[in-house]
Amino acid sequence: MRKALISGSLILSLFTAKSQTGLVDVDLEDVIVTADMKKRDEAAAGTKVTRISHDDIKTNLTKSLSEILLESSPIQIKSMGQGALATASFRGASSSHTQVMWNGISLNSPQLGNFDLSQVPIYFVDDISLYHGGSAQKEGSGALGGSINFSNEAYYGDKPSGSVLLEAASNETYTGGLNLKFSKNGFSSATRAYYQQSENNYRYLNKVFSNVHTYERRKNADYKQAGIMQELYYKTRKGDMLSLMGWWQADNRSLPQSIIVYDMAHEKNNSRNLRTMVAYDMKRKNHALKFSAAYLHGSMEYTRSFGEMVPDTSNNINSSMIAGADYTYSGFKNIILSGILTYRHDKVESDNYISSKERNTVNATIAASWRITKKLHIDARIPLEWNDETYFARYNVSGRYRLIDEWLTLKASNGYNYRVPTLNDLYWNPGGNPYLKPEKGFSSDFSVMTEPTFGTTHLKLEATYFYMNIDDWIMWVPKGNGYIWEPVNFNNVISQGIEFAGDLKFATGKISHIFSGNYAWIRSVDNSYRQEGTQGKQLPYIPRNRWNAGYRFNFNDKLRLHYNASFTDARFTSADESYQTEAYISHNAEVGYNMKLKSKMNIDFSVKADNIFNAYYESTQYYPMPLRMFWGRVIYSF
Amino acid sequence: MKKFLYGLTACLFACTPEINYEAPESLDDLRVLIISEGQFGYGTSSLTSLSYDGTVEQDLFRRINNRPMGDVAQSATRIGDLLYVPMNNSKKIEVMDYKTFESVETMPIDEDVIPMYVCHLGGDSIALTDQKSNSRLMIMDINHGSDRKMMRRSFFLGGRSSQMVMHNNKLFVNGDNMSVYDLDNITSQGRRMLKKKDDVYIQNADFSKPVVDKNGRIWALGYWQLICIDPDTEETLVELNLIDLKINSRRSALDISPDGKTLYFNSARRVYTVDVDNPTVPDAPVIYPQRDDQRTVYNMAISKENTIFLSEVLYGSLSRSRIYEYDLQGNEIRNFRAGIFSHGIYFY
Repeated sequence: MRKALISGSLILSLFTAKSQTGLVDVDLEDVIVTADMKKRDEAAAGTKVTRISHDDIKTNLTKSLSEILLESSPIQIKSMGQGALATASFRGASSSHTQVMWNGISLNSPQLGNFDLSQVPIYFVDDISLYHGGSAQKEGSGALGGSINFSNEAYYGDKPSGSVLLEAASNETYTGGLNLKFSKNGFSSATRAYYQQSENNYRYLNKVFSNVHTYERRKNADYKQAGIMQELYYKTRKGDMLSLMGWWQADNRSLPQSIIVYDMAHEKNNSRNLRTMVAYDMKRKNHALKFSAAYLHGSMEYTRSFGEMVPDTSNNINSSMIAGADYTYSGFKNIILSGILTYRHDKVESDNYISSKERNTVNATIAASWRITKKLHIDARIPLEWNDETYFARYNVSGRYRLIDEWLTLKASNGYNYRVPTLNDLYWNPGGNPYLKPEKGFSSDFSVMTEPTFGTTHLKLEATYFYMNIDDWIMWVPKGNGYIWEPVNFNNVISQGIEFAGDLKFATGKISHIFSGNYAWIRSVDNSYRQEGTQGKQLPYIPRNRWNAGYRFNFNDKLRLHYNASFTDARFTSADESYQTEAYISHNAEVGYNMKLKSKMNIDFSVKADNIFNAYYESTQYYPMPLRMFWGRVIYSF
Repeated sequence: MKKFLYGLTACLFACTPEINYEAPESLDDLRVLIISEGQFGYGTSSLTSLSYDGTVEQDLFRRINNRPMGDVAQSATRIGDLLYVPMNNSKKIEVMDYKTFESVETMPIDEDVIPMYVCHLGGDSIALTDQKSNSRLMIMDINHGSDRKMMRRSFFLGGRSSQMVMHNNKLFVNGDNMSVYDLDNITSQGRRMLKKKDDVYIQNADFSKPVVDKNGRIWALGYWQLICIDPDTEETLVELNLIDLKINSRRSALDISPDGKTLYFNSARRVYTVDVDNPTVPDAPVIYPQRDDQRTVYNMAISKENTIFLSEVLYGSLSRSRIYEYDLQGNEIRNFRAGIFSHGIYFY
């Protein structure tokens, strides 16, 4: 019972304190066992969760969040190339239906609704989890497809720890990183700094300009990215935790053009982002409470220049203030109750709006988690949201039934969710539509999972069927002859599909092997009757099939090999399925060697080849991705 | 099991699968070619053909050449056995066989222009117009077998330029104004701006096609007006005020019957006619098809059989255009889908 209570408490509570001790027996399906109180699993009992392995994170330290998700998850990534805009979508939904959370704070732009994953260097991330489904996220609306949660962990080691990273790539990408951590008397500090610059002048094969296919080098794709992150933690004797985090990042990047068009102008985006948060977690007997506050500030300057002419410039400044409290009561037998109250204020000043715009959002959630039997666990949540004088309610019910111990587990969830239009949807000038209605709809999924262990061999397989029915889907369509676009509410979109995920881990002596794979089949169709020839057709940029597969080999924590292949099916680029961009398979491999110097001091060398078979591929049509590329990296750590 | 493993290995290690488009079996007997702009920035320009037997073939260029034609195809001009298609957002001219649509050459245009229309000047020379607000008129060399430079010269016009017609060794260029050049002096110095009867420059002739009637006179749509010009004297002979019909060059198309006797122009689905020998403002449209949909007429053209073709698009959508053919009594003969934003209608 004690286990159940602890487990249930941790599943449900955003703010439940959990100490390092006493958690070793809890159900690993429910929680992530770490020393960090701030980090917890918000997903409901029946939710499908994909966790990116620490090995994958370690391999991709100098990549962006979008690149690691492309290799290691079934979600769809739409990218304009290395260092350029990259967004993610779950289960046939759009990128604005994906919530991106940093330590529980939504980073989605109030202007665009989505988040540019290229802005997150993996070097700044300790843990990544994906919650699949429209109602997996505990607080906040909008995650109709799912959410990406990345977080940081407090360091409580005996001695200071750190690393220095240097990397170079064949497309003239140079990266440097510094990471310093120490702790003393409950106080912990982690400092990370990162710099990457790239000419990004990779080779590609131009097959679209004329019948003569020519190798060209990408132009106007250069970028610079610099960031620093500071984490401070203080843990009291009672186990309370105070967390302070700050993350500043600058991105200067040229915007390459589609190779089907020829524009002699140069476009640039310079953005600056400051993200700060403070949180205090406490637990007293059956009561757990967390207070948190965050301030996000982002500025983006877009310039378009041509020769000696004065460049056109537009500025966009976003600021968000978030404050919240989360209370959990675990005094009842087998039932955990919790309540969350959050307030968010977003303000946008944009040269593309007639005037600055603000939005206030209050969210109140009540939730219950009931472990009916040792095998059956049910969660229920009712979030209410007040959004600029409009009220919405949603719900989520989910459950998990462990039918045959680790051999067979059944999971199911059903919920109602919505997403309010973004400020760009409403106020962009020209094109914004202030009469848009929120998107809303039901989503359900059902999973079958097996997770047996045979000695040192561990197998995990999960199959999921999902169904989403979204009304008033917002889509930008051309107005007039296509030079101006406007958002409209489509009547109905239905998305359904099947997902498979599997891992096989085993060891023979000093050698360990990990095979992993994901497959998703998605049918996401427009059921509206707005356009001739589009009814029942797949939505643009949603591939019907996507899979990835990987193999990891490790010898005595010294020599390692990683091989990964990912396939993305053809994606239609028009609503009537008459235009598409080709399917592609990308193969990547890495070889690394870790040399131990003396106690805790290591030098790690690795060489990586991306797109080994030199395949031509595009993530976004007519934005070619690099042919074969090589990366060399050295990390000194202590 | 072995087959499965082989299949799995092949699947894992296969390189990028390529799309191979299926070319049409036959393109004989072509009657109409539709040029579609496509979605701006998305490279979905396309060619659609209609044969005399009613067969419609979509997306010809891509299916035959296994690559996209480009972004925002604007027009097509036949010169000999070749078709010249300027792509205004790809800054190039696709040159293809006019019957098989096999690509012959791609002419890049390394100028800051929006290429619109081609007019053959004779020999190796073409004129190319530009939609920029301060547009250029470009004279280019199409003798692509030699090393000669493609761009001979270009000069600014101070306004937009679009459709052209060559007649009596003169080049008439529509645009924000209407101008004329002697064929041997297409330069900024050789430019003469045409005027109306009141000595005011002809305005806003930008999108309409100048046509030549059976008498050798030039007709064009101007600012709420239909204008007739004597190509020899370059004086305006006729001005018909069409403001009551809501017709101007920016929203209406002008064409002429194959015998050169009757002018056709439209205001949305209303198509009007004017007799070139007795030009008067028409009282009523010759056809006015009414359908309960939200489509808008994007262009109009008269076929060699003297039937009326309307290209209709649905604004606020990415879907394909629909082409309607009517007889002069307003009876619908056929309709078929074409590409996205179909603008050019050409007859074989």
